Amino acid sequence: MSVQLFWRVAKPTGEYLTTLANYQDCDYTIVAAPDAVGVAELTLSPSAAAFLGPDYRIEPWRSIDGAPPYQDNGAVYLLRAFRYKAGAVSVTGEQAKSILKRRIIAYPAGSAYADKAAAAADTQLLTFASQQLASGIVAADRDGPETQADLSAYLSISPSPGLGASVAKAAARRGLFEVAAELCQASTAAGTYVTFDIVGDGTGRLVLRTYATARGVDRRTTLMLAEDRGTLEDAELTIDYRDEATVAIAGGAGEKADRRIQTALDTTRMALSPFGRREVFVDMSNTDTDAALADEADAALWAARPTMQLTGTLRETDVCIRGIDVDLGDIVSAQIAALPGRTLTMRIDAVRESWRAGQRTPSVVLRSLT
Amino acid sequence: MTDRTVLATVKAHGRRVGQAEVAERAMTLLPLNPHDGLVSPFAANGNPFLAPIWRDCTPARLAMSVYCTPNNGANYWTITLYISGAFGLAQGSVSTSALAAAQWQPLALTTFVAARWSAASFPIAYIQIAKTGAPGNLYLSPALYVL
Repeated sequence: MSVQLFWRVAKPTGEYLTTLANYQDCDYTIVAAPDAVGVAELTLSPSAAAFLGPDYRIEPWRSIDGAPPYQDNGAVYLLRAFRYKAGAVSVTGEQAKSILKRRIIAYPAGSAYADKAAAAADTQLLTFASQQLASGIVAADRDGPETQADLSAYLSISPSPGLGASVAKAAARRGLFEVAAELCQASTAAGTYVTFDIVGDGTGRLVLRTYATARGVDRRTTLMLAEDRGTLEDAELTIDYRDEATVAIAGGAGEKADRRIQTALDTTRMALSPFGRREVFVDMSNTDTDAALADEADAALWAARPTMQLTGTLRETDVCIRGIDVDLGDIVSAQIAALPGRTLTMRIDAVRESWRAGQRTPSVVLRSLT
Repeated sequence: MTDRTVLATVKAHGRRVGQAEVAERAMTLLPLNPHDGLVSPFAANGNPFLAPIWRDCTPARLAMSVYCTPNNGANYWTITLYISGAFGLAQGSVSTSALAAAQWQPLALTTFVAARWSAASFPIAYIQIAKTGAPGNLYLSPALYVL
């Protein structure tokens, strides 16, 4: 099995520039989790990098066993850092979903743009996005001049499937990316996994889209990632309770005893230890409806669950090739040698490929579903 | 003490020093204006106060200080908060029946029929007072807070 990787380079507007196959090294991570952004780092010759600038796009395209190349999970990175050294230039790009970090919900608290009654989380996310960076912008109501705010010429916002859990959200003047991540977390806490990404459509256009239930395919009954099955190497499972919370208290608008308060508890996790009650306060003083506050508490509790993370090098076999049999966002079964007999059901939250001197190392990061 | 312990202590100290106070956002006071020419103390049933609802809001507290004598379980005032537009909606009531007579007393309404008030549908809030039995004149100083 052979994999070829080349990088398609485009201007910030999406206009194709060149294809790079002669990079020295590269290392890229594609993250499906809603609260993190993947990074690509490419080491090029100075001449190859000479024409690159901020927000130039690089896209990884892979070809497996000579098959037509495809854009790896639709990943697009926007270049944000350049390091020059003798004989080489390293460029670093951030996954395009980081564009959401460039906007805030710039509407007044209490307005229909900032405070949204309960609706499907993915619909809420796409509506917030449209109203901050696309055709949904209402310039008369949004803070300040809207110069270059509308990215409709380069970015499409996909229609909402409306599959997420019903979530209310009040988010005036908060960061769009954090709000999007919290909507996903609140939906997942309510029973329906939701995440989002900005991907390329293959023609130079970016698309913001959401994924419900799983970004990839549910392969838990057909695929086992395990060291003793030869599909995983150097596996390491980390279960970390350090930043856990089992009680989330969300405080909204109001003073003293009149402050709106909503709480969320995980009594199952709490009962694991007599010291299992760990409280966290979520300060949402712009939120004045109990429904939105309750969803904030739920999202905070979900975000503060103990992390169960499995990392390892993917050992690709004839029946386990990334891009064909397994990929980003898939739900799989996993086992590690250190925990014999225990099967974990996990989601592939990130895939990483590292190319050094022509040698490829694919690895995966898996997180527990709950 | 190991270096790691020292580092942890320094970090913990830094967190305590850096601990931000959790801020509270003040409530908004809706001005209750005299209505129908009625002035405290009130001798008869009426609607003596009203306030504009100029934006959608969440009612938080109708705070009052009242004075009434005589006042007891059979002779008291009922104070009802309404919102109104095309029609009126009672939001809740409190009475003076359990309050001691002949002294100023605090009284509050903190639960409301509608959790959210729409300014478009209900642009006004008003207070209605009504006697049961034969209480004394009602001295009433109200304040209406919303979020």
